[in-house]
Amino acid sequence: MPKVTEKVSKAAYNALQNIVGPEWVTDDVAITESYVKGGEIHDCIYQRGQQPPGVVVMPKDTEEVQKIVKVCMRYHLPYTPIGAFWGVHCGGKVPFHVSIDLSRMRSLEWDEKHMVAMVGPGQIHSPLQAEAQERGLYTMTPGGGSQAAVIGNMLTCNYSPLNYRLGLATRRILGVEWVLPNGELIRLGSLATSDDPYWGEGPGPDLRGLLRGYLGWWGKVGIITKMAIKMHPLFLPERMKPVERGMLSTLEFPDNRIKWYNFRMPSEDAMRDAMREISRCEIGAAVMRVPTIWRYRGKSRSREDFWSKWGPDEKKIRDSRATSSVCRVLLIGYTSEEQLQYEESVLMGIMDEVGGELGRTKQSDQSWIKNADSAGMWWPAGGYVSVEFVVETLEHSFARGKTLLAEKESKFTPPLVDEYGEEGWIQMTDMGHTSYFEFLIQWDPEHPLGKYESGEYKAWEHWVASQRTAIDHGQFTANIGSLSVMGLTGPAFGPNYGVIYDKVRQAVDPLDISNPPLDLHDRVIDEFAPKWKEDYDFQTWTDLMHDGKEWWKVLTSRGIEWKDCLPEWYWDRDDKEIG
Amino acid sequence: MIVEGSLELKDYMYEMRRCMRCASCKWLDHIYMPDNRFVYRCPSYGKYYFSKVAYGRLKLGLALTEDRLKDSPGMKDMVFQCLMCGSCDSGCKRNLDLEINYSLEALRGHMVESGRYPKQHQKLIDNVVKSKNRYGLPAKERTAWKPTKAKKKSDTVYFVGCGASYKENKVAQATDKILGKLGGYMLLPGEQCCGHPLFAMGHYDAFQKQMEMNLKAMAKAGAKRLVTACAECYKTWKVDYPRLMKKSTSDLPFEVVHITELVDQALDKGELQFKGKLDMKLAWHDPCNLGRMSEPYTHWEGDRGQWGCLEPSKGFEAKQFNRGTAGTYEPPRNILAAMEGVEVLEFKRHHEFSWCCGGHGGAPEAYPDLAAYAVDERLEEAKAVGAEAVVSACPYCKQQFEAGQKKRDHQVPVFDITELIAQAL
Repeated sequence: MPKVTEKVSKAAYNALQNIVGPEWVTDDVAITESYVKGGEIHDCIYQRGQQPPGVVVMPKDTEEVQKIVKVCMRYHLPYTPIGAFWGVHCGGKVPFHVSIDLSRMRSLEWDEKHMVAMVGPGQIHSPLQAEAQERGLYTMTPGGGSQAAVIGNMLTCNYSPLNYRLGLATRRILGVEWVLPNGELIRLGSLATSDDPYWGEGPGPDLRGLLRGYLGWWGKVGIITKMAIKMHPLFLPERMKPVERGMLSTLEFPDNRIKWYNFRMPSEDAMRDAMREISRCEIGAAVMRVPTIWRYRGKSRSREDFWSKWGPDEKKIRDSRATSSVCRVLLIGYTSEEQLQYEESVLMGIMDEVGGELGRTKQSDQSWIKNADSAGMWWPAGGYVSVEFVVETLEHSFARGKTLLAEKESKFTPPLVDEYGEEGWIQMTDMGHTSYFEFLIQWDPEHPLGKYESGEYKAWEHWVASQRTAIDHGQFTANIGSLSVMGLTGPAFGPNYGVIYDKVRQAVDPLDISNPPLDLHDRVIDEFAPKWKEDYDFQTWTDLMHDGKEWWKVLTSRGIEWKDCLPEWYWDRDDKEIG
Repeated sequence: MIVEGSLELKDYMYEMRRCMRCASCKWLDHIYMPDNRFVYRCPSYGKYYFSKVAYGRLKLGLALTEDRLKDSPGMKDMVFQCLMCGSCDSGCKRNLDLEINYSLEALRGHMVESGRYPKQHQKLIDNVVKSKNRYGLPAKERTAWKPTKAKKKSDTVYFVGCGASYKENKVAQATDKILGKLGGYMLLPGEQCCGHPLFAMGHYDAFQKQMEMNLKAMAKAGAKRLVTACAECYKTWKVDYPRLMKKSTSDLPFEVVHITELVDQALDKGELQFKGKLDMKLAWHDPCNLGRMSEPYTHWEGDRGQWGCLEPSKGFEAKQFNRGTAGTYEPPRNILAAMEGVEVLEFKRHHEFSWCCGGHGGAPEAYPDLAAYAVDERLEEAKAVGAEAVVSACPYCKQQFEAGQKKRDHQVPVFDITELIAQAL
């Protein structure tokens, strides 16, 4: 396999250095090597094929971002913006790209009176939440965790159980400052006419739609350098106190104003009825069905501790499948203790009717207020990925769980962790109008099915099969990859969304240099699902975008092919070994 | 076969492969995140950015182990622009539970083996190896601080350490007074450097020799207890020596105690009483080597089975050691709280995510900019919490704070806790 060794040209490097100064740009491989998500724990389809950048540059402000982007245009350098580098999508996907690491741009400005926070692209959730609470405000922490960049997360998923009450996060985006791929600065909402970011719409057509949503552009249409976010009035007179330390650290809840309830439900129908009824009564701050495995994980203090309980409890969990999933409800007395008491009485009434049995739970921040231990999802087995995460109706969520479970159990367990019939994570959003569904798989990357990669390989297969199942069932799927989704599902929507999106993209990024997508997805589909193109009139993003582009011509002129982007094991593997 | 605390980089493939850049090694524990000012736990990242933090170093370690990278102009800095303060490790234990500290120590060793270490470290190495103290000063000056309560024979050895012996004499003199009140002590005959600088900089062969000499001297002394007022010596005797000997701390033939533990116990039993009033609002700085780096070492050998589980499980069903939370945190707090007129303030970053003062890991010698940045940040934090004085329990922390103060407008008195204890007695 030819080695990719050529670097970004000296002239381009010097131009970047002139913008940020020598201290804030590097092409040293000891550093660029670490700008991939890696190691081998996270390597599912999202990041397979990520490339270390040729150069990393760290701008300090919007003006520097604009200048960097213009240099990238001048030299036809594909670039990838990075906020906190939590999302796997952050990793660059093409060789010799420029990583624009925005970590220095961690600004946080407040308009307390109007409950607005304006953040820079390097800002993460926990300082935002800490400062908000000092000001009598709060926001929620997404499932991605406190360490996720606020802007990056707001533009994509930003799912949290608190979205039940607060609404989907993308709707909380107000004024936005946006550097287009050509370096132009565009300001949205009230920022277009003033420095006050209190309003997000317009002017004219609301361009926020090009940025946000889980089918948004994942950095494909430039770089957001500032974003104003709507905050909420804090429901407590003072900050919640941290207690305990290490793995046990948490915020203590004053249970006269904020309280968790865990109910064991007698059946799936009862679970669904309860969730629907809670939202119909407009009570609660969060309502969800928590997979049994996450309760075990939450109680474990080590990997060994987890397996010493999860394995032996298989029969118990299978026998009580209907009751082992818990309906977990968070109530908040937003205005008073009396509100909590009232909502508690309504909740108990609902559970009485459907047969929910109240169990024990700890009254502390089990994520979502200040912390979300999403990184901890890796430790029970070593490998983890969400094969699906979508906002659907409640009925669709339950249906998706069943199809994905069937797929998983029939062909992929092991090496995937056996969850003993678990059908996924469901949480209500938008006061019950929608629900969020997530199906998570875990596997041991070193499962003795064969060689090291086989566990991951199976996870990969399962991932692709899951999407196929979804499409065959007429269900929408978000997780087909950062951008391929529109190529795949676009034609199904009448006017081809994929083509429309591409026209917009061409308008703002004619050189195709802003965070080029992971074309490897397409290659994977070629291998794992060769009939997809035929079945779904599927057009890959490589076909749509890369061929004919200047930077791609440069790479191909150097004799680099896409296969060069694949890890060596991929080509060396012997399929016969894989079970 | 896995050996706890191995110093071979190849033994940390599991860690290096499974680091998925969650950045728990970079950010402060999110539950304790105080505001938008003091957000990092890693001084190296706070100073240099890019990926100069544990996740970056683990990625580099992986590339080196897999032979994908040979060398680069910035590789040495990438590895050694780090205080080895262990804050990253306690962050990782919160989420991924990987052995980050061991991996970083092994990475240093890997670099040192091939001669790739900062040349500025050499003088310090030579000083310890040749003169048996970190300053390169004559051995006879080691007791120039004039011990008054030392006996020829005692069950308790006071291991003074280079810092208190040669530079921070007030610490040695205060400890002499305290131990005098607690039944006396003996000095370790021919005391020499514990070897901590060698270990922290990755020179493990030289450290091993230093360790063997000290253990021999301790065996000859026949004491049952070794007391020190230096956090670095404490960690070395309590953690690193047993680790290199493949023993647990509890298997040592003598007990290793920090002076704060001893005083705390004495106060508790009524063997010591404080007199007078100090009238001070002070911030307690947890030395890295007293807290998260000094959990008792538990030796373990075994294998990694399915799902990455360790077999046999490390001592308990739930691994309960080497997470940074079982270091010495409360004794100094108890002592300060027992002093009349003293108001003890917590830094915003405290206990196992305490911010390092910058005096560790060979940084003051090779990267004074990093050392200066770290201490300035800590002093800024002291100001932010309203401290009128800073107190710690390590001569090197005190030296760092005093050096850092010189460049600041806002200056506060800096104490070693032994000085306050001696004053309160």
